[in-house]
Amino acid sequence: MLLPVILLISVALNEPRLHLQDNLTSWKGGGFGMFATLDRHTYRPIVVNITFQEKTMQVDFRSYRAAIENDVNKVQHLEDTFALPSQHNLSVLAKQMAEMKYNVDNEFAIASNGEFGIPISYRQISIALYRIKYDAALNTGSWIPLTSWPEEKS
Amino acid sequence: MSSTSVTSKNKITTLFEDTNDYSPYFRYTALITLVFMLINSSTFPPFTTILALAAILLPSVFASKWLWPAIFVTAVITFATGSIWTYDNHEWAVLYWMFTLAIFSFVRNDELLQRTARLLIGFIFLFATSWKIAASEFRTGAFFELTGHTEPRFTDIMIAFGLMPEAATTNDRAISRWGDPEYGLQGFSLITSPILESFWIFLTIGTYIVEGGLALLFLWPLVKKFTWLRDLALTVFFIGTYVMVPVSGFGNLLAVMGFAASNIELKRRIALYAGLIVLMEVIPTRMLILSFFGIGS
Repeated sequence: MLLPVILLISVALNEPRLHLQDNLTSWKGGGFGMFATLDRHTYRPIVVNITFQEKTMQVDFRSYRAAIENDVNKVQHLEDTFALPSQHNLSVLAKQMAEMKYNVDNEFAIASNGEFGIPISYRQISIALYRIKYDAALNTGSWIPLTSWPEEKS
Repeated sequence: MSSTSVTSKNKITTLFEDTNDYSPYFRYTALITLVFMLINSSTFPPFTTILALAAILLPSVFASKWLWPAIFVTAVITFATGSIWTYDNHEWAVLYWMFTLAIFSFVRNDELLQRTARLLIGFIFLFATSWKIAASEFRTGAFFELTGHTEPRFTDIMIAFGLMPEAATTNDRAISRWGDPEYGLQGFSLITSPILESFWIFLTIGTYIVEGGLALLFLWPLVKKFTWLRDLALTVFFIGTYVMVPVSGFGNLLAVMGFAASNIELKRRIALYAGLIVLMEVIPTRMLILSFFGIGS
């Protein structure tokens, strides 16, 4: 009859594993690590680069968000990816981003779901996610790499 | 007028005293949970909220042993089809609580329900404390220092303790720039308040004591004459946390589960836990405190 308690413990014990292995934020996932770390999913900057014609260009990620705002599945996946940026979630994000077309505006690539623009393959995409780091002695903060896709092999 | 009063009274009598063969303890636990669901309706799918409203208004729905299983299944389906990794931890806890009530709609065992509520609270605080011990940025006070200087949910009350209002706005702007690729991922410096330096340490140590204490009190099988300590500790946590930070969803759920886990006499228990929810939800307590310090609108 203590099934809910067993369920709570099972889910919560799985969280450290997901945190270490796939960078799950402690604020989510049922592990009760909220208000323990600064690494919230809303404080995880993303940098997406696309490479075409031997040139690498950063995507203005706001344009991707705007392009998918009416697609519930893509929005859900994006939010899930910020909380749990596993290699699987990042590769799905890359494939979803490859469904867009890209136009160049100044030095950034602008995603759109219209007819015009450059089509790309997901293999031309690279994704890097960052997290916040705060130095209390100096009162300064910085953004440090959290994970990337494709995964860098050492 | 008198016939309306008699009808209303009968409904209340039916709801509270003559519903199915549920014990008064289960009936009040169910009722306070239903009220919680209506107050926090944004956490639940609309169908679940309708069920909760129907259960409060219609004794036959309240009495049905299928009410809580229906609420639990609806909540699970909604949960599983959403962005599962973006649900807050208290939303997971809500699911466990719905599961508990679904089970005890069939298994009429008040003692076991009370123990389940107690252990759920105990393990929530055990895991919460463990994360805070493991995270170096919490141990050093950096968590409260950055959050207290930048996050609007904290900064408004921190102004009462000496944070400059302009500093809070500037800090928030500096940290939020990362969304604009024109700025890139530049580092930032915080405008800090030296007067608050020891306050972050106080908050850090205080959190360890209160949350660790709650885990210990709720997991340790106390002798009955000392179980009131759990109610006291939960009240301290509830007021301390939810007056400081306006995140009442988790607080309300803890009040519901605290009610179910409590050993104090039923009327006093209703007064305490319903009072805590009223303190947070009905009376704008936090706003009154901020106004007292001359902060906010």
